[in-house]
Amino acid sequence: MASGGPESMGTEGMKVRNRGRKRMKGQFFILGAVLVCSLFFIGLPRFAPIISQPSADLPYISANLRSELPHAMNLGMKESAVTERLENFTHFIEGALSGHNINYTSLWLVFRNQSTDLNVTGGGFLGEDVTVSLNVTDGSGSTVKTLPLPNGTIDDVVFSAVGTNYNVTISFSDQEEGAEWPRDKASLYAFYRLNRGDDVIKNFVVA
Amino acid sequence: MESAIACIIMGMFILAVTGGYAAAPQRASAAGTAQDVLKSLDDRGVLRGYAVTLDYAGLDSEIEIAGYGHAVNICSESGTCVGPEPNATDVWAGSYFIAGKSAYQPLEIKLYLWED
Repeated sequence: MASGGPESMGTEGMKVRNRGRKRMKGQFFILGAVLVCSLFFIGLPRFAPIISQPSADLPYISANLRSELPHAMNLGMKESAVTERLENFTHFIEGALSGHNINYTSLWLVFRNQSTDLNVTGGGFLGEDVTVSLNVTDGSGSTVKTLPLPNGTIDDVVFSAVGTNYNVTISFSDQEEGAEWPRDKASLYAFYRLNRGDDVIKNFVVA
Repeated sequence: MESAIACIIMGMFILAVTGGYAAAPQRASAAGTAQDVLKSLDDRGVLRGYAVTLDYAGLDSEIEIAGYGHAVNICSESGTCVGPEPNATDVWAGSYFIAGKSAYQPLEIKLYLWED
């Protein structure tokens, strides 16, 4: 008889109160979710502009450099400072592209005549030491010379008494390219890598 | 029950936000458009004259792309840029590099595009 008295009524009351608290807690879940979503959309316009530069821009930049490297060499020739200008342009591009999260590495070779000799100046900025092998062939035969280019250095090598037209084969690391040039015209070979995350573009210029 | 509703709200929110990635090809083509525009200005012999004099307003006046607002910045070797900040929240950027015009003067020309 006494079992249905004030004690059991108290238990019922607690159950009702607990159910109420649980319902309140559940409403906080919904309120929290709505708040998170609302804050995101309210705060969105307050952030700095979102600037998109997808990796699709790498081919554009590569094409741009392909046409601009010979221009940098020509301006350098005009100002009698070809090595300085190409070195400066290399560092300029490295710095500018690092702002786009692109790692730019390169190697360039400038071929110029000194009377009947052929001077080859190389700049190595590949992020590693390389040795360039140069095989110059003219009407009287071929000569092979090597040009060691530790990373970040410029050096040169001279081929004596080269014919007025020559073929050159340039090889280093896993690259090998050939060109045929007149001795008395300044010529450029440049190899570069553009690297952003998993996206890599390798290209070269012969001009 | 309420936590399930909260999960549904959050799930719909995440779907709405990640759904934005579907626009990625359009973003890529807009950035490509910026670079195409700068290249075509260079091919027409217009770009370098404005760039070497840091005349970003003059260069900007040569650009007209239907449906897009635009702003040009010209950045020198030191990293200093001249030109207005892009006036939008979702902006595509394209860059074009030059070694100079008649004298060596390396510059980066940036074109920002946004939908009007």
